[in-house]
Amino acid sequence: MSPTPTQRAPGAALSIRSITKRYGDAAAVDNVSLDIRAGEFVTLLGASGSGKTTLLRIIAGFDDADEGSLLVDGQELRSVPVHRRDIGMVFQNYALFPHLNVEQNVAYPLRMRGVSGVERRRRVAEALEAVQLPDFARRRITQLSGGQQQRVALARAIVSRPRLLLMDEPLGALDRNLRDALQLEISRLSRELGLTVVNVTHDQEEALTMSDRIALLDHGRLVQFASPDELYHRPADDTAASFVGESNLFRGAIREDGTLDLADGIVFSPPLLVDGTPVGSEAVAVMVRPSLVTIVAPGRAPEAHSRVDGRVRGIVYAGDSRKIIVETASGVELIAREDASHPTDIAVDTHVTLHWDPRASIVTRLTAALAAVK
Amino acid sequence: MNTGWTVRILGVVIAILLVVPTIVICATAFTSGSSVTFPPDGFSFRWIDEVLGDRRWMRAFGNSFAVGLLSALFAMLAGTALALGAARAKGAMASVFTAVSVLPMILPLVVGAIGFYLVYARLGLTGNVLGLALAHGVLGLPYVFVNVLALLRTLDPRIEEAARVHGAGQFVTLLTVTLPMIAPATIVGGLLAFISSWDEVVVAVFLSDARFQTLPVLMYGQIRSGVEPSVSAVALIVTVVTFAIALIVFAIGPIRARLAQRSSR
Repeated sequence: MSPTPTQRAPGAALSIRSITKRYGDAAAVDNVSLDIRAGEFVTLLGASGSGKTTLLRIIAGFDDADEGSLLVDGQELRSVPVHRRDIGMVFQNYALFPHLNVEQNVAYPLRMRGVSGVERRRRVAEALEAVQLPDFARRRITQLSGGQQQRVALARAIVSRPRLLLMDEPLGALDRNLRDALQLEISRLSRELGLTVVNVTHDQEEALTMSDRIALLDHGRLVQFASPDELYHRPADDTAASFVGESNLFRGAIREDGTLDLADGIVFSPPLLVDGTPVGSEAVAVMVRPSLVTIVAPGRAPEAHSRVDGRVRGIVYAGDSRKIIVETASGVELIAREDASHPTDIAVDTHVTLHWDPRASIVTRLTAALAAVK
Repeated sequence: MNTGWTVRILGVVIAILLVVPTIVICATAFTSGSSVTFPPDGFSFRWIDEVLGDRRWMRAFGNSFAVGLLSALFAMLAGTALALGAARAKGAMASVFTAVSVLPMILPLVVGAIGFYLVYARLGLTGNVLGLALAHGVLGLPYVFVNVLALLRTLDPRIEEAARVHGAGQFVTLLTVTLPMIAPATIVGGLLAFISSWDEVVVAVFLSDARFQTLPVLMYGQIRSGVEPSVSAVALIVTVVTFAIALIVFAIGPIRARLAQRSSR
């Protein structure tokens, strides 16, 4: 595969089928299947120990799966050695070659593929241009800042127009401002070049900003594979609901009158789960986002609204919004988020009622594992 | 404050015990008389000139240098290979690599020398550069092993993974990434191996004969038949070479740092 200069080399489609990886008795990756389209930007999102990094290392070829298959454009990848997989990769701590300068680092994948001379220099210059470091070719790696090093690592990863671009917490070591700038740049670059990207992060904000779709992993299992919008508004279960975005979650069984079996107040449940099936007799989780919750003095909530009583524990200013933390009598912490320009007149330790329109709630299943434990 | 002074005084005493004999012997090399006395009897380059013009001394000098270089090369090859093995092997294998590599340091030198002699005599490896270089390579191996292993332990394994994922097989990764990254440690280890070979006398005595002698062996022989200022002159030369190499070892770190800065302008 040798793309001509003008022709884009779009990424490949990656099909992950029933991949399982065990360490001893524990499954680090537990029967995960994902169909990633060519040119799609997919993020594996999860807390540490969720199996996201293990899955990425299996795709790269550093580890092998115990079961399942990996198909790139329909071809089995598991039997292909790492260096023949035609992958570009960005590592969290850059992993640049310290004995080579910027130009030599970026040229390395081309050198390994036998691209030489004028063609090599042209493509290295192009890649450095793409990451906005055109004048850094002769610099030593040790002379670059963290952000610059990660740009060089990005240039190295895309210079050969790989079929797959893998990123292992690429922005984890950078400070906030750099992270935001690089997020946009990586998104732009990957779309311009038509790359298929598999990104790993524990940062949900990063996942929501950059991805076409997000695969949420928890203890090795795939919780949900969906667009950021769908993941935010229609979480598959309470794990997804609590991991993506701030949320207030009420877990319990639904009573005859459509309210949750709860001591702290009255919470109405919508009649249908996010997947469209009717709510049954099993325990569920009713969720409401903090920005949809209103704070009033006790007993002032409208009759038709869900409402929960509690005491204000803290008020946190966060730029445009204000986060009010309320603790109920049974010790559950809830959050209300309000526009900082229209603050409610409340203080810490006052008794309040949180209320919201029942239509603002959604109801999801409980995570199978959790339900079994309880 | 009190302990500070005790430690300082102790340090000075040890330094004197170590350095003074060296200074004394080096100073006697400049005597104009014909016996080794301190303070030297006048000042001249007479004995240094004599040594530099003496074919026997010069041949021994050449032998020592050849053995030193070759043994450093052997030590670098074997020490680096064993360090890579120790760093990469899992479980008991790693300990085996380490044990093998450190053994030459622990083994009594005389025992090793007799062993070398018995085995190498059968293989025709006595009385020549190759045999002694091999033996000294074994003795110098721990210097390379320890240095390289220490550096390998600090390397981020993801740098090698980056090479592999971007198209380098295992062997190409070793050649283009791993070896260049550990090169400073390998070179420092090699220089130390050279120094250890340069003044090694026990094994050298066993593996030398009348026609093949290294500097320390010839010096030892000369002293037994009476101390002449020429031996002092040789001692001076041996010391200067050792110091020069030690200086290179100390300089390698700072030079690399400065080169890095200059090439970035």
